[in-house]
Amino acid sequence: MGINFLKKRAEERFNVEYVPSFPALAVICILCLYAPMAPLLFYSFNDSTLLTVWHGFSWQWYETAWNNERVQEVTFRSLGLAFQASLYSTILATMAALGTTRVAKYRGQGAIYAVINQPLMVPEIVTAVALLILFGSIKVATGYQGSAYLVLAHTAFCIPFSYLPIRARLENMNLTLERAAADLYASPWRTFKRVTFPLLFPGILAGAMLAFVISLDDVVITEFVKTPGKDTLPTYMLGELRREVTPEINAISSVLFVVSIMLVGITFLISKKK
Amino acid sequence: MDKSNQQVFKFPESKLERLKAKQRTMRNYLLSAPALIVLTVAASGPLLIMLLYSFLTPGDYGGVIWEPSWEGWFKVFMRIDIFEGTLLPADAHLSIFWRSIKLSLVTTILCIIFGFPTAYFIATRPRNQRSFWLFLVTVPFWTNLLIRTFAIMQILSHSGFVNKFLQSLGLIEEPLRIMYTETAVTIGMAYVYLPLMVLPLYATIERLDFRLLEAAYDLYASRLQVLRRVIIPLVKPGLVAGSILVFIPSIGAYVTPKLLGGGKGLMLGNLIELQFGQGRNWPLGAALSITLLVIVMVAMLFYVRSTSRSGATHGY
Amino acid sequence: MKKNSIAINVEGVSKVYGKGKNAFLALNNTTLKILDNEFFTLLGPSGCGKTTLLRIIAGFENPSQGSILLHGEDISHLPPNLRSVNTVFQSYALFPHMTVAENISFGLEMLNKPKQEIKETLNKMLSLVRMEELKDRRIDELSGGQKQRVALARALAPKPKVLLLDESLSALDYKLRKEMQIELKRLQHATGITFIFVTHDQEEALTMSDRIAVINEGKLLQVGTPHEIYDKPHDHFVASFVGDTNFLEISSASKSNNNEELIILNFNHNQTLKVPCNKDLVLNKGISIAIRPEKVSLVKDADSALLAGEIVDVSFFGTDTHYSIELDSSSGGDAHNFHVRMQNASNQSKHYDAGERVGVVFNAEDIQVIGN
Repeated sequence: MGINFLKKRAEERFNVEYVPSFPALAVICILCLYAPMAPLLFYSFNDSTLLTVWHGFSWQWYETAWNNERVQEVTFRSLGLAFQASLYSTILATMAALGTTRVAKYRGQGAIYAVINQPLMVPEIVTAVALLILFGSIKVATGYQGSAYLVLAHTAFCIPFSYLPIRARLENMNLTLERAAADLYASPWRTFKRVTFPLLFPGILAGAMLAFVISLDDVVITEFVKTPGKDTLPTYMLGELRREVTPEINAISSVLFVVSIMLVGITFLISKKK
Repeated sequence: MDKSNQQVFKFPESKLERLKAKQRTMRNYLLSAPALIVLTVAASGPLLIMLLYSFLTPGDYGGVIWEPSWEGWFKVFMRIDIFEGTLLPADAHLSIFWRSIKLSLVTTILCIIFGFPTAYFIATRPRNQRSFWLFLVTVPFWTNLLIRTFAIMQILSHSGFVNKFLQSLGLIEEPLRIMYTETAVTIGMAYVYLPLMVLPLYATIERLDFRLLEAAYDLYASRLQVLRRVIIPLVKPGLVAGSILVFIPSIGAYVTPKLLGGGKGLMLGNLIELQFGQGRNWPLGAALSITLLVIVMVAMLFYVRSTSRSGATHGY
Repeated sequence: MKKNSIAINVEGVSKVYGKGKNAFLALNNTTLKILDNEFFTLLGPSGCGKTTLLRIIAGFENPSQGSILLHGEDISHLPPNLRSVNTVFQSYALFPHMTVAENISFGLEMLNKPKQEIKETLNKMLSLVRMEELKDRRIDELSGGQKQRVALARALAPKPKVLLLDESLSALDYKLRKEMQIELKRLQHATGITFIFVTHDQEEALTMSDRIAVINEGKLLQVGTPHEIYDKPHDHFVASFVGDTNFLEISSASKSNNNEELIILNFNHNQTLKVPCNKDLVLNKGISIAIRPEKVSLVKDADSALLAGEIVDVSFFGTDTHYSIELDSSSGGDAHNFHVRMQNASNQSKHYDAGERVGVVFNAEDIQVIGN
């Protein structure tokens, strides 16, 4: 009796994990996540000012956006702001992480943790309005109208986003290396510079990237704290969206969308390599 | 277990050790201090100031007059009829409270209905595929809120994709008016916050022991019974976490109702903004903000209590 | 002996995993019959396919070829929730979010049995496994042995036609294991349900089973009662896997006239032994015989015995003494390490020392001819 190994039944085994309708719902859901982006990308190439009627292919909206001085201004402002917020918040978060992780419990640790994570738990509108009040009073009192308010506000709400990945990385690190350094009479600063920091670096990098993206994306707090007339890219877009919309917005959105994909892709690839 | 047996035997500390410990604590405080200062100035502190403002008198052109007043808090809940001078509940405000809670709950439910199968699907893919699917779900999450809301605006519009699709199927003759309704806001919020439901659910489902499902089938359970009696009870922590992660931003939503809701879809966030703009009633705005904060805290309390209850060991 | 009806009929079952070059044959054309009210054991080393067969019977895997019949009905492609077969899993797989009572009642609830019946069966099961006091406990509060008993009760409650046990005693410590072995036998007798038990522990198999099937590398090697498997192993693997065996290569032998006996010639002083053998046995291809250490005796007179040799090692085990002997004749197999086990029945039992020269004696009926 020749056994024909190539003859396969429809099912090799009873599929324990299968739940009826779930695969279909899941695929529909993921499609729906991306479906709205399709017309957005599509119409960014529309050769007309309409957003829903296709006229022909054109790069014009990308050109318009590129040459739009206002768009250039707000983009640079956003990037500059995000860079500063990311830098400051990451430095502060790293220090705070070192002071709160892997240490024997001390009083007030819970409270410190709550304060650091507070921006994650308080709705943005509440913080935005509170800052409006505070900064408004300071503006009246001192007459200072500069960008420091915005930088301060962004740094503040970026801290928890930098903090969490750094803390996670710190907790997973092996203490013995640092103890070894201490044994060899290295001063705390040197231990940090030569041992802790290099090991911690991936976490710091992740935190910085996260903070950068969060700052770049912020709408609500920026909207309330900004100096009128000095917009960031998101607040500029918010303004445009409430008026007559042209496919220029599509073009800008498409570019930002592609940038997001690249950023997420890079993050995934980095975390895979670890 | 007898707790008294768990006392740790502490060796008597030398003076040097106590000094070192103090130094370390000092160092930890100092390290955390700068972050805390920034946060206190630009995040926590302002909340206290806002609490203060809620008890002041509104200025004529905005701002406040430094005189104590209950007016802000009063107006959150009550109003006085200008013609008859009677005390009535502040319908407009209360309906917005109600709408915010209602829409947030509906959004959470929608996210569960679509998010749960999605998380389950990803968790049951072969290991090497999972990163890919998670990547797919994460990308929209990192895309700017405005872009995503704008995309929804487009497809829900008069001549947008949804209407065109329904018309082409012959289901409707005239385009439906979806934009600037509560439905539009709900759809928008569900679309934006869906990944927040999927990710924690995925984390929980991934740790599920599927051998338990085998045991259930061995004991004559149908597919539906396995879902109801085994899968869902065991992934409840993920469901609760995801629900909180969706509910909290929903209830404080500002951009989405602003762009998608029009007049009919105003939520608490927009009402608060109004008081600092046209409404010119900063104490009221402050009081409303504190109220929103309280609602969020209550929701968080539910979450903390439910996780501690399910995580506790019973008896010993 | 009363003949029982057949509970499970395994007909020509094969299972292949993977495709083409990477195909792995987990089960190779297995056929066997398991009877009603029988304690049947699938015995074999890890990875031999015994668990695969069990899972095919349970319904979690589909046979690539062949069929499974339960009381005559073909269940080969029926999903597990439609088969009247229940499993006690190796990891117990108790539902952590339910109490002991809820776990045990689960199957009955899924079958939509009336509440009263569920309650009665639950109580019966609890007393059967002696867990009455713990019925409202949560699963994470139970010890290993208690979990085992709950898993048993849960699988028995729906009164299946066959109960499958997948190495369920392997997680228990020695003493508990011994207790559970007795417990399982008792339960099988009490319920009259066919138990199919999977293990790699041959001692366990011998103690508990009515019949044993020895499996290795996907092939069914032998089915029989513990006595048959132990005393008359059909092949090299069965003989060495179950209990301790000595193998000797036979270089000169001939067949009897009726072809049913093997006449072995290479013993001292031209002594011969006649041993029953398979008709198809071919002489030139190298034959081995197997003999159990406890069936061998030692005598002082080395020269008049069947075989002679020198004692290399002596181990005292209290109840008996093990000798390791280097045999004179270069008769392959275990000739350099021939094991003999002699009981220390009385203080007068003979005792030999290392280095002593002894004779080895055994009977023809204790020899098993192992083919080629």
